[in-house]
Amino acid sequence: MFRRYISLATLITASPLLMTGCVGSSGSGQSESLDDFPFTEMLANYTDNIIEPSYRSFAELSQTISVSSYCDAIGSDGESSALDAAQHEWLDLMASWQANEMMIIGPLASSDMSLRNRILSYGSNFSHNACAVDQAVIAATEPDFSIVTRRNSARGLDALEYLLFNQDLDHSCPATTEATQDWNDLTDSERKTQRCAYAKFVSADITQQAQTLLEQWDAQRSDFLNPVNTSESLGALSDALFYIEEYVKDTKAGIPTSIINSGCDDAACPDDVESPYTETSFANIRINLQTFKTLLTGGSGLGFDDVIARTEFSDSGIIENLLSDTGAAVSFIDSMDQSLLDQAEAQLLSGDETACTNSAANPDSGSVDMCSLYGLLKRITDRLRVDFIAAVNLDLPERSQSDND
Amino acid sequence: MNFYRINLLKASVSAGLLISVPMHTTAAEEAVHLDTMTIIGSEQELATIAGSATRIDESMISEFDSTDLNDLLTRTPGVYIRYEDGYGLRPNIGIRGVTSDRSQKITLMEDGILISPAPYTAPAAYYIPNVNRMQSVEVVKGPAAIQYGPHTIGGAINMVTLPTPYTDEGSLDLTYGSDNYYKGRLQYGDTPEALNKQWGYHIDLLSYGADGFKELDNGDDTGFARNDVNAKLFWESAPSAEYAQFATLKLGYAEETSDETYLGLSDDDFSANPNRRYAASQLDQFNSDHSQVHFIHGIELSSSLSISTRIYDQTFNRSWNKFDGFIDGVSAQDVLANPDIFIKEMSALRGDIATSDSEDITIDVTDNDRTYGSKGISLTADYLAYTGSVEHYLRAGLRYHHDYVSRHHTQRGYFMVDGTLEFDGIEDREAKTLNRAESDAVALFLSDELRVNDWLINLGMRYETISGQVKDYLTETESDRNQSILAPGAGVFFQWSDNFGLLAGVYKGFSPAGPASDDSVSPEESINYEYGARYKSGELHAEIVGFFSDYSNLIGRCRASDSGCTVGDEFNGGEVQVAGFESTINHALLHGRYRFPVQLVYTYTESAFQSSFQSGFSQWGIVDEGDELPYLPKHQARLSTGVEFDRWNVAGAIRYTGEAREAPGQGSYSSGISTEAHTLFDLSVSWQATNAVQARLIGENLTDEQVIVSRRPFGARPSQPLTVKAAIRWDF
Repeated sequence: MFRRYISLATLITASPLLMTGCVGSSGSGQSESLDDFPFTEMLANYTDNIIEPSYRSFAELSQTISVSSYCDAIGSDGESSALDAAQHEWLDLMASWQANEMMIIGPLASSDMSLRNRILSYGSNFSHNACAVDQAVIAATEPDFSIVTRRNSARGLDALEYLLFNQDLDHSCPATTEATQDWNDLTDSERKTQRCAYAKFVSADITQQAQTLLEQWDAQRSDFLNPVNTSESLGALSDALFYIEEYVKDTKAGIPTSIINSGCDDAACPDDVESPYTETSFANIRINLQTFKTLLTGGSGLGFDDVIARTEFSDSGIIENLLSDTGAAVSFIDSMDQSLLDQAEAQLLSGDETACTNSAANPDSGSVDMCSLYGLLKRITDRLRVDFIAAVNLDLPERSQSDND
Repeated sequence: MNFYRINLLKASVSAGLLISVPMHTTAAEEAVHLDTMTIIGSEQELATIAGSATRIDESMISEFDSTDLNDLLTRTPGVYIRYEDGYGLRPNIGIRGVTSDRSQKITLMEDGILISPAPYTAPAAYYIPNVNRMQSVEVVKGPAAIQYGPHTIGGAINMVTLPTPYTDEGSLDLTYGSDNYYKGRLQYGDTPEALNKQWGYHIDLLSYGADGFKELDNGDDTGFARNDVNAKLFWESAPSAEYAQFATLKLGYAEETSDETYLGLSDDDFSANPNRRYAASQLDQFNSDHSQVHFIHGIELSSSLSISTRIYDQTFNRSWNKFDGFIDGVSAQDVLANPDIFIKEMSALRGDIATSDSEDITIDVTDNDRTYGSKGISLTADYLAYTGSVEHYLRAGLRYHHDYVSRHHTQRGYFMVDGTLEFDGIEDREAKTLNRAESDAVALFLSDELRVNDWLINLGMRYETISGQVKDYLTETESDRNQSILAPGAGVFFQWSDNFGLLAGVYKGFSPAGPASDDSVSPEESINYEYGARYKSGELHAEIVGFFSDYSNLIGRCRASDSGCTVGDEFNGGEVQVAGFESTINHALLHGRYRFPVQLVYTYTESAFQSSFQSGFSQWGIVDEGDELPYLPKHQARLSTGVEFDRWNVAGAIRYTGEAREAPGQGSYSSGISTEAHTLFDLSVSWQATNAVQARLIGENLTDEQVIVSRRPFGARPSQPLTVKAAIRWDF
């Protein structure tokens, strides 16, 4: 009855002050537990200081891309500079989106990522298809054309990259494709003009999708922050981190190097490289990694590092190791001087994957850079799958459970 | 229960230990029928009771012209108050650590009759008789409390109405004060000579209200109006009757309309203006009516045996239409706790944005419409016997009680447009709650008060068997629950010397689980101990009592204002210990024609959950072993003093409430989930202009200090600001 906090002797003592039972003061050291961790504040930090600003930055950049200026300049002396300006703006826009790629949450994750795939289709079931873009270019000459009728393979940043950077004015379709039968007969100026005209549709569509993203995120923000949804929201953030595995490691690095087999049985698969016309795949991965670091720590606010600091794993160095491994991968990218496309094409020509396999297994001493990068990425994702998940006590995201490592 | 015959009976046989009060006296102040039911008895009995008891008498009630029971009970040690609306319309009272939440864990009575709307089925006391029309308020704790179930862990409060006067007399009180506060009371009674002084009556009319001190964003009133009509018909047998008898029929009706809300403020908005009320609460209004019929009968069958009977029937209807959060949105509590995060929702509360185009923010205004009923009959027999030199004052009580609550909570959605709530047009939302719960209870208690030499020993036992049923018309389910409890108790008082006595007691406390709770929820039970000393010498009267309550299971009960649970659901809190001590010192210094009364009341309390667990009850949440209970300040004190001379009486009081947690915790008090310590200063100056006319000027919270008294259910709510009242009373 009095087992913890009070004694019978205390009860019957005559001293008024001692008559008070000395009730409880032990407890379980809650100050270092997650009981009172401000998860809502943490989620708000992610929402308001990282995710929403990133989405908004992309939306604002999408409004400034000067495709129209380039279209107007075609055939004039200013064509080259106008194209150059539009290309630079695309590069900035793509860099901005690559940060958002790490934030596939809420509206970007819902409906099989349909909104995300409309903005960037790389890695999806209907990823960029040059022929689909060519057909859309021709269809866009019709007065009642609407881009919403086109598949994602002809929309988004990938399509815009093709339209702005592809030097080859011939169509990319098989000879049997009826829609493009007469395309190659057009003059260069006509083909540039028609492609640019469609690029305006694509650019406007990206702007529209970016706005939709902002609006939907704003509408879902309260649900994301709602304390009753904290578990789900943390899970969504955690799932987003696993973009680094499924997309960065496996799709962006694993498939082009042929380490991951996605149906291409060759020694390398350069056709599966992201951003092939600008050859900025490594730059994309670099931004993905930098954003990954921000998401781990929550930037300057509360983040997963602060959650782990309140757990029994506080001294395990999980976050530090993840940051270190990520930093190593970024440094490695900075040290490379050949694009992923060039490296993949070289491996395809060689027909030999052995060196790649060894490089992936021993990235510190590898001879094939793109494969060594894969190995470095795998270090990050291994730690993420095991150490991180255990520390924050979250389930593995659904899409990463069937990993084919 | 002590009515006058029992006092007479006891006085006649108890060697002068007890002071009797004659049935009729000629002294003006005692020219009344003692037809009402006290539970303490005389002042002398109070001094020797084997347990803790306090009486607040009529002079204390009138000193500050109290209409707020909360304020008044700060005079009582061991009682915890959580202020809410500033006027005490629905007090939150706890005793010795039991939750103060809507006074649901104490036994509330009027003239010894259970007065909460449904004390077994839904004990949250949305109705309490107004203290302003009472003769006294009695608070009983410790072993003596087991006579007054069903909630015996903390104790019982009995409100004693004015007795029927023996001669024609009455009074008219008029009060006016801050925020257009008004009070008018007329009471009159007589026992006409024409009816052989056997029949008497008393009528009591009370009306009071105010515009309210809170400031709604749209400028509407935030006040209230309450009217009470009470009538009493008294009869007593002729002096020549073989058996002395009396009977009282009491009829009462009370109604209230108040623009009250559960919506408070964010801490920042509170700092800017604690009296602000957000636009989202503009439709909030509480309407209620309460009617009661009480019949009390007493008969003295012999010089050693008397029997009293009480029959009662009460109904209470209430409709509280009020802001209840956001439909399918973030809870209002979370919004107000994180105003910088939920910016849109905060703007909607304030009326700063239009939400008609934003489907994700629809304001929920729910009408919590309920009907309560309570009726029963109780018999109490008192018997005086002797075994050798030992006097036994035996008492047996039997009560059958039935009560019920029908809940129909309907929700409507509103958009905020230009600071005004506009109905969203959806008429057919499903009711939030549609159920009926009822309980039948039979209670039996036996006690034996033994007096031998300087010892008074009180042995008692209470047995309750309760059968409850709930019909949920939404889920089309029915459930029932049966409970029985045997609760013994024992108390002892030892008169060490003429001035000094010691007391101690132990008893099993009990608070039944509601009928809506499932079998996994155990009834609230505890073993309670108290031990203390009393000293009385001349004007000095001091008492200090330590208490310790060892709960085997504490229950949390979900109310409509709690988030994330269903109304009526109950939650186990496991083992909990509450301990502390309460002290009262009364003294008066005399200097010539001046008298300086002084009273100090102080309560110290500790509490601790004895296990770690996670509760679905939002007031608890995550609990660590050793965490203190919420809303239980460690320190409470009231110091009052004054001066009485000639026709003047000046009284001042300092009320101190220590900081309190709003969620279980230990160590330092965290900002945002604790209430600050605060000290309030009150002053009353009265002048007896003539023998019949008295004028009074009252100032409450003289320093105008306003603090957050609670952040539940939805945000920070303030204590009452400086309030000044002027009153005049005419006795005729």
